[in-house]
Formats: sequence, structure tokens, C-alpha cells
Amino acid sequence: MLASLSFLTPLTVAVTAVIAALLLISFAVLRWLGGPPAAVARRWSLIGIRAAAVATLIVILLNPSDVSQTPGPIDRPDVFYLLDSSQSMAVGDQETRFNHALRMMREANLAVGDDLHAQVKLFRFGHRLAAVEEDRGLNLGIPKPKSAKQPSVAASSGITQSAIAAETLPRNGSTTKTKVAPLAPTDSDTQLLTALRQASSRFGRRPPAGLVLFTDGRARDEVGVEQLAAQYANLKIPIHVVPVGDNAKGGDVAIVASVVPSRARRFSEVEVQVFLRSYGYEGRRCTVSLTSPGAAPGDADRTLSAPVPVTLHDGFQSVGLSFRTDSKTRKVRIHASEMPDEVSTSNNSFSAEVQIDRTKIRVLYIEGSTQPLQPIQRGDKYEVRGPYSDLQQALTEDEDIECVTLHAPYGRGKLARIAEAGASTTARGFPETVAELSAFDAIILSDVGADSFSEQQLQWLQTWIGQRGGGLMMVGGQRSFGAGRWEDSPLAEVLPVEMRRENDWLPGTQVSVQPEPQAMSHPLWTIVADEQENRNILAKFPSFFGANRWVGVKPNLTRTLAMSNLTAAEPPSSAPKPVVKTDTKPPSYFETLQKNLTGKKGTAPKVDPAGAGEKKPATTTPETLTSAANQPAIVVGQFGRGRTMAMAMPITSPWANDFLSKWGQGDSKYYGKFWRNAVYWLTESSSIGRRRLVVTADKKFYRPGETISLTAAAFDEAANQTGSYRITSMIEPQTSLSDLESNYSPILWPDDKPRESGESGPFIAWGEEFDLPRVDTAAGKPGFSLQLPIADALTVGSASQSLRVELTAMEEFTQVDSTSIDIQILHDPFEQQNPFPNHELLASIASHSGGKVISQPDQLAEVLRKVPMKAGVPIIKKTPLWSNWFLWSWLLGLLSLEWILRRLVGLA
Amino acid sequence: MHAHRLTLSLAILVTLVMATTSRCDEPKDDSMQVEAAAMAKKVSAQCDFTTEGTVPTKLEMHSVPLLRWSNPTVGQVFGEVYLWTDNGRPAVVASMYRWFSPKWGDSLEVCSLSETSVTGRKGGVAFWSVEEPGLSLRALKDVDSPAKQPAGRLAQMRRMAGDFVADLVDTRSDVAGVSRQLRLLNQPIYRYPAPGEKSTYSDGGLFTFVEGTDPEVFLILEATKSDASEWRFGLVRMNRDALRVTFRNKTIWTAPFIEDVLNRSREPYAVFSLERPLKEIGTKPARKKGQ
Repeated sequence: MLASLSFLTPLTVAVTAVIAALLLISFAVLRWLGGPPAAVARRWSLIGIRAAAVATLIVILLNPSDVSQTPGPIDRPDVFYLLDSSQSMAVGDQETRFNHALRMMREANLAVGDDLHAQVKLFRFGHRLAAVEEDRGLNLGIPKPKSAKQPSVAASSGITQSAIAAETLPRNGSTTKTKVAPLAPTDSDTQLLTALRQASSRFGRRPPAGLVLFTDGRARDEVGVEQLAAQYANLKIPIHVVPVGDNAKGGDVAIVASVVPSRARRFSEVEVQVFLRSYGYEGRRCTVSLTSPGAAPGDADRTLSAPVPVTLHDGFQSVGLSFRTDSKTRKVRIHASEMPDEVSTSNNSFSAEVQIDRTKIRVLYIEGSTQPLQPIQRGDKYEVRGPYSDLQQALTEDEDIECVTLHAPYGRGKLARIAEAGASTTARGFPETVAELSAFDAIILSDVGADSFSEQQLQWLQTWIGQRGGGLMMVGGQRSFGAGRWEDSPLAEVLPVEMRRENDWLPGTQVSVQPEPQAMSHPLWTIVADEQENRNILAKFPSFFGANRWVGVKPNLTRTLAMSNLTAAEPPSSAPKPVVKTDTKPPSYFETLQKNLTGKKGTAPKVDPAGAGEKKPATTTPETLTSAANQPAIVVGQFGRGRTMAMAMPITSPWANDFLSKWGQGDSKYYGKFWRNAVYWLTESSSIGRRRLVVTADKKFYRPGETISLTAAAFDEAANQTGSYRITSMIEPQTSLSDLESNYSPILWPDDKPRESGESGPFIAWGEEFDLPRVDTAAGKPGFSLQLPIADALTVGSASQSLRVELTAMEEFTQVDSTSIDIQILHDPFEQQNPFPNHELLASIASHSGGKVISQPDQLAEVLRKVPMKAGVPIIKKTPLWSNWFLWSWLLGLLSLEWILRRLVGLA
Repeated sequence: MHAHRLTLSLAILVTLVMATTSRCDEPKDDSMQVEAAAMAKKVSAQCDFTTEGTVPTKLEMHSVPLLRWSNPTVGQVFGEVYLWTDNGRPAVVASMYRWFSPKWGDSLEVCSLSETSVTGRKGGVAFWSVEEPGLSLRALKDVDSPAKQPAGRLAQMRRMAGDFVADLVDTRSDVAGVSRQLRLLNQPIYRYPAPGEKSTYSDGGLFTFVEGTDPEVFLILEATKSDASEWRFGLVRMNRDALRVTFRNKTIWTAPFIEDVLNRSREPYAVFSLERPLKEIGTKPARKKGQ
């Protein structure tokens, strides 16, 4: 099919006229010379054939041609989209600033449709300018050049969009990050001036038709931006601006970071440090609360801590909260109450998770009560119940508590270990070494005298409590406190009460106990969760018979949890009689058991199980008392790292029958809960006794420029602190290493420390190994310590960066133990300092560069449509039509036919 | 005068001797550890292990003990862990220890980490021959692919190991059994060497869960050597008691209580008392019923 038919003869009209005239003249001359043709030649057939041949030749001379025309290439200038991907763009509730910008792009592209006059290239900026790949989850729908009939300049120049825009993040100087994460507003800085400068290096062979800035205008480097915009104007490159963010807001309150321990013991106090930043609400008050989300959707949040009121100051401030863990791993939500007209309320909350450390709590319970052992049949098994059984059972009902019970019949003599079923297990008694003692978390001493222990064992106990965080509880009895001669033992210093130097046991006394109203928040008194019900339960705290009477409560680091009123009363009928001094040896555990099981006398001398024949524990006879009010009954204290508790009343039958069986319904559940509360409180500082390497840092969190002081203590097999190990350490990020842009931590290599890793930069590389030098403690104990300075500024975008220091104790090349410690560094990134957008700056940029302030997608579409587009020279293709076999066959056929006819009629 | 001086000297000497004697009466943990370490070194030097594949291969003993441990929770027991490797991969792990209280003497605890059969000899006496694989490595789901850099892979291993939780029902201190959550030693006690041409791994580490510092469960994390490299894991026991391991709160491995743990010379995990000579069992593993 012909596109268009044209006669493109090279002959002009004049030349054609001359040729025609010459032909006519030639014909006339030949006719004159040769005369008229012979009659035989005057045939119309021959004349027709010859006329057709001449006509064909004339047509060929006219050069008929098929002419087709293709439009020339359209030159679409570039338009650079510069998208702010800094963190301030994440602000917004229904729609973030970042999403607002993306929506503008999408809607403008839809509005432009096919009438796009520009080639859009997308860049992000924040820390730096970087081209954005097409597949970064933006779904912008930026149109591409449509067809080969309209090739773009980029395509024709061999530069593809992806080649221009492919973003590679250099890592380790050689490798390339291939996995592309969705683009998100994560940069911790907005460097607009830098971005505009860097944009010029991205120009192709000619500058773009314009730049479009999608930003809130909040930039660190505002100075000089307008001058640079003016330079763009000189280059005829307008900078259009799309301001995002709402200026008409009151301010913002945001929780930017928190320090929450990732693991905690059950029923322990967890401190939470909250860091919030506010702007625009100077002097106003908000509250910070701590809740735990409901287990299932729709469940109400559980309040963990009463809301704390905070007076806001523009800037960064911290708030301390605390809560008590329960038995389960909990997600915690920290929430700052919403202020009127906030820029965003989505940043008012912060979530974390506190996992429960299920390391078994090991309790050593030593009972010296004289109460007889009782065989009890359960099914086809016999059990032996002793005075220790109630407490042992109460503790081991909790799967996280292990109770090792030692029985000292009559409060002295060899301690025998009792298994859970009540039978004596092995010959092992009190821990034979410090290490074995350190493997426990708490010790409960009930009615056992100081003379049941060697001086060395008592010294071990003091050291274990003070230095390794063990818990000590002593309860009342005729061999407890002053009556057990504890006042001269090393534990006198440890206990929170001053003991009398004489027998302080008051058997003929009824003791009514009242929990102290000011101490009701103490975890010992949390029997049930409901506050009112709990108060009712505590109001019914049972009374006891007998108590030890102290001189008083020590003044420092102590707290009285309960007071008591003592009144004279007859001791229970089954109570042991007042002890009378005798030199007879007390029966052993086995002898007592044999007697009670069989009724036969053992080989030991006859001993009254009610206490007759016992050695008198104290120097004086028991005190008699008519009445005494407001006597301390339960006192808690702190000794070194450990916790202590003193309870004036005995805990075994018959003295504590009400406590054992009548407090609460049914199965004496309040008794059990009371004891578990006591153990959990006592052991909050322990759980390190079984470890051979313990590390501490001097702070819970740090700021840039500060120094981390790490201190490690290593313990040998005998649980003695030692300096003979080598402590190696390395720093690792809490996040995946692949998420980091740098191979280096923000910790500076200490100046005076030799380096063996081969690294030479100022910072410690992630995973770089270094030793902790030996630095003995102030008390002269061997230890290890290192000061690690933090960089003055962090590059991470969030307000906190978490690191983990991994430490290993090595003996030569053999590992002895390893542990780790989390370090949290908090800083105040510029991005979070002012939540308001800066639209004035953007308007000024547009004004100085000749651009527009765009607020609607249609306006952006109009900009894209009005970009001047250049069309290239059309391509014309001419195809001569005579240059084909048909025409030449036709001409040849005419000439052949003419010759045949002539021959037929007899012409030459 | 001379007699007085002599009497005084004798008195001082006697006092010193008595003091020394009294100190010796009390067992000291550090001396027990030294004794146990010497015993472990001697026993490990006497032991050798071979894999019985198509070509029997003698396993290479790691030059130093990996872990020096004690367990005050259950008594006075001290020991050391030694490792035998096959081309860098852990193949047999053994713990040699001495009980001082209760006085149960010396023991050798062995566990196969090999995917083929293994034979153990002590002083030339074949005492342990296991046909079945001691370890089955499984792919670890929902974790990052192995990092490019060794430091990155170590951090990954530590993070993954931290997601494992091991529980032991301990019958050593109480026959009824005390459930204990074991502690992970953050630092792998053995890190695979750089892979050679024949290696099937690109990296790996041997972690352990401990009570005190006593290893009860070993965890192997291994990065495969292929284009689509992935992390695999394997768990083995080092205790007769019932064990359970979870990964991100999902149980992935259990091991039942072993009633009679002594001299299980055909099992991947076995304990041998060193209080008497080990019995020769022959090198050819016994076929199991039905095989």
C-alpha cells in the first residue's frame, strides 16, 4: 500500500519542454527527409503500441515514487524528583509526610497520563543524595517512554533509567549490597544544601528542565540554600517545591527511646527509663504510663505502673518508672498521654518485651525444730513429714524454685539433707565449699542455733550474702536470734535487726501481727492481684505463739514490714518445754526417725522429742512477758549485694499453726504465696553465684562522648575471685550486621591500649577481639576493667543504639565461662529536635530559583506537561515506483509486440 | 639456753606441720580442678577415635581442652571437654571428670557428632563403636543467610544460639528430678577453622548449654558451603537426664531419660566409669534387630 504517491522527476519543466521540442523537431526533420510512412505501416495497432511505449517512457522519466514520513525523535528533558527520606518525614498520623509526598507523585502521574513531557528521575536525600531503583516498593507509576517510534534521549544515548538510578551501597569497600529494602524515611539527618549540590553531578549531557523537592523543609544545612537556588535560576533550572507536613499544630510529644532490661527474674522489680522529647508544650504536664497489652485482641491493657506526671520542657528529658514482673514474659507499652493538637500521636508510644529468666532459684532451708517426724502413707508409698515439710512444699510448688532442706534435730548437731519425699538422701549436709554454697540463691534459718555451723561456714555465709548477692532469712524460734547465740556470729552484722545478748525467746506469748500500712506495696505483701482483696487477706494475717524480741531495727538500709503486739499466753500444749541444760548428746536424724516410725528406742540416749533434755541454747532462761505493743515483727534489709529478712515469729507447728493452715481457704494457699514472695524478694540480686564470669557496666545508658566503664569479676573453681584468667571481649551490634552501613562500632579504641587485630582506625570494629586488662578492685580483689570511650556523635537514626559486649574467661586456651552485657547509647538526633515543617524555607527556594510552590497533584502535573519538549527532523523514505519488474516487463512486452506486428506485416 | 632454742624450734616446726596438715584435711576446689585436669589430659591422650566410612579416618584431637567446668549445684565435680574433629568439623566430643563429693570417681562421657559410624579406643582397647549417626543437621528456618564476613557470621551464630532454650530434669541432686533451665555460654567453645577445598561448611560453631559451667547439651550451628548457603543446626546430649530444647518457643528436640547410662558402648552417647579398665567390644558395630 502506498503511503503517498509523488512524481519526483529530476527534470525541470524547462528541460522537459526543451526535450519535447527537440523530439518534435527531430520528428519533423525525419518526416521531411524520409517522406510519409508506407501505407502498410499506417496501422493503428502499431501506432497504439508505439504510443503506449512512449507513454511508459514518459512516466518513467517523471519518476513516480512512494514517499513515507516518520516523525523525528522527541527530546524529553529530565525532571529530577528529590524525595526527602529523613526521619522527620515519618511524622504524621493518618498519613505520614513521606506517604503524602508519594501520593502527590502518584496522583500527578495519573493526571498527566500520556501527555508527559518530561523524563522523571527519582532521587532520595537525607544523609546524602542517592538515586532510587524502580522496585523499592514505592509503586509510583512514573510513566516510561512509550514506544520505539518516540525514542527518548536516554535510550538513544544508551543510558537506561536503571543504569542511572541503580543504587548500590558500598560495603567493605568491595562488595555490593544486592538486596534492596523498601524505601522508607529512615535517614537521621536532612542535608538539603548537600543534596542540591550533589544533584548537579547527576545531570546528563544537558541539565534537567527542573527539580521538584518533596520535603517538609526541616533541614540541618539551611544556610546557603537560597543562594544555591539562585544559581539554579541562572542555569534556567527552576526548583519546584512540594511542602509536606502540617504547620498548624500545637507541638509534639514523642517517646524516643527506653531502657528496659530484656530479661528479669519472676516477681522482681524492673526499672524502666523512658526518654521523651517534646516541643511546643513548655511547662505543660503529661503523664507517662506503663501497661501490658492484653493477651488476646480486645483484651484490656493491664496497668503495670501508676502513671507518672511529667512537666514538659522543650527538648529531651527522662522519666523513671518501675514495675514488678509476674510469671510470664510480658510485652510492655510505654505511653505518653496525648497533648492537644499534636503533630503526631503515633510516636507517643514505645513497646518492649521483658522475658522471664527461668534460672532456677535454689533455696537452702535449715530447720531445727524439735517437732517429731510423722510417717504418712500416700497410696502405696510412705512419706515422712517433718517440721520442714510445709515450707518445703510451699516453695517447690513453684516450678522455678528448688528447695534443698537440711534438718538439724534440736537445732544443733549434724545437718541432714532431706529429699522432697521427706526422706534423708545422702550423707551430704551443709555445703562443703564456698562454690557449693554460692550455687544457692537464698538461705532460710529456722530455729537453728549458731553452734550448728562452724566459724568458717558462718564466714562463708557472710561473704556469700554480701559479695555474691545471696539472700538470708532468719525466722523466730527457741534457737533463733539471741536465743541461738547469733549475736556474736558474723551473721549479726548481716541481719537487719539488733539482737539481744541474752535469750530473747518468749514462748509464753501470743503474737498478733499487722502488716505496716506504709509497707503494703512491698512485694512480700502481694498475696493476690486485687488490691482490695489483698488488703482483706492481710487484715487476717494470723497470730502466732512465741517470738524473739530484738533490741530494735538497724537504722540503715532496713524497712519494717510488719509490727506486732505481744500478750502473755499459755504456750500450746504440744510446745516444747523450756530447755534444761544437759550434757547428753542429741539424737541423730536417723535415731529420731527410727523412734517415731517404730516406737523403738534408738541407740542414742533417751530424748524427749518435745525438747526435754536439750542443751540450753542461751545463757539465761527465757524471758517472761506480760504484754508489749508495737514490736517489729518482720524487717527487711540490705547487706552488700544481698538482701536479708528477719521474722520474729517461728514458722513451724505448734507455734505457727494458724499461719500454716488457717490463713486462707482450703490448702493454706496464702502461706505458700507468702513464702514464695519472700524468696523471690530475697533472691532478686542473686543468680550469679553459679557463674564464673560476672560483668558490670557503670551505667544503664550512655550518651555520645561518655566513657563506658566495664568491670569483670572472674571466679575460680573455689568461687574465689581470681585474676589468673584472660578475659577477651568483642563488641557486636544488637541488630543484624548486614543492616549496618559501617564495619565499625561507635566505640573508640582506647588510646593507650596496644592493638593486635590489625585494625588501625579510631573505632573498634564489630567483632574485633580485645582483652580486658587486670585491674584490682579498691578492696584489693583481683578484677578486670576497661574504659571504652564512645564517639562524640552517632550516625544511627534512632535515638538509641544498642550494643552487646561479649566476654569470655579463658584459662590459657580453654574457656571457663562466657557472658555478655548490653550497652545502650542514647543521643539526640537533629531530626527529632523540631517536629514542625519549614515551609517558609521551601517557598524561598522556589522563589529564588524561579520554581513554583506546589500543593496539589494537578499543579505538579501541569509542571510536567509544560516542560518544553523538542521534536527532531522527521525521517522521509522515498521509494521509486519504476524500479520494479512489472513496469520493465510491460515496456519490454510492448516493444516485442511492436516488432512481431511489424514482421507480420512485412516491415523490416 | 641451747635446749630452750631447740625446744622452741621443734615447737614451731610441729605447729607448722600441724597447720599444713589441717589445711590438707580440707579439700580445696582449685586443687581438685588441677587433679581433674591432669586426669582428663591423661585420658584424652590415651583416647583415639576413627570414623568407619569407606575409608577409615582417624579423627584429629583438638590440641587443648575446649572447656574447663565445674558444677557446684550437684556437688564437687570437675571436668574438661575435649574434641576430635574430622576435617575441621566436630566429630566426637568427650568430657572427662572426677567426682569428689559424692565420691563417684572418674568418668568418661562421649558423644558422637559424626554423621557416620565412629569407633573409640582407649589405650588400644576399642570401648565404643557406634554405627548410627550421632548428629542429624537440620536447616534452621526463618533466619538470615550466612553473612559474608566471619565476624558477621559469629554474631549471627550467637544471636541464633540465643533463641534456643534448653531445659534439663536434673536427677543428680534429687531422684525425683529438678527441672532446670540451662544457661547458654555465649561464646562458642569451638569455632570451625576456615574451610578447605574438601569442606562442606563455610563456617560453624559448637555452643553448649550449662548448669554451673557443666555442659549438658551441645548445639552445633553450621553454615553450608554452597551458592544458596544456609544455616543448619544439630543438638546432642551430654547428660542422661531428660532434655528438651526449644527454638523461638517451639520444641525442636527432646531426649528421654536414660535409665542405665553406663557402658552403652553401641550408642552415640555413653558414659564409662574409669574406675576400672574399659572393656574391649570389638570394632564391628553390632547390627540392630531388623537390619
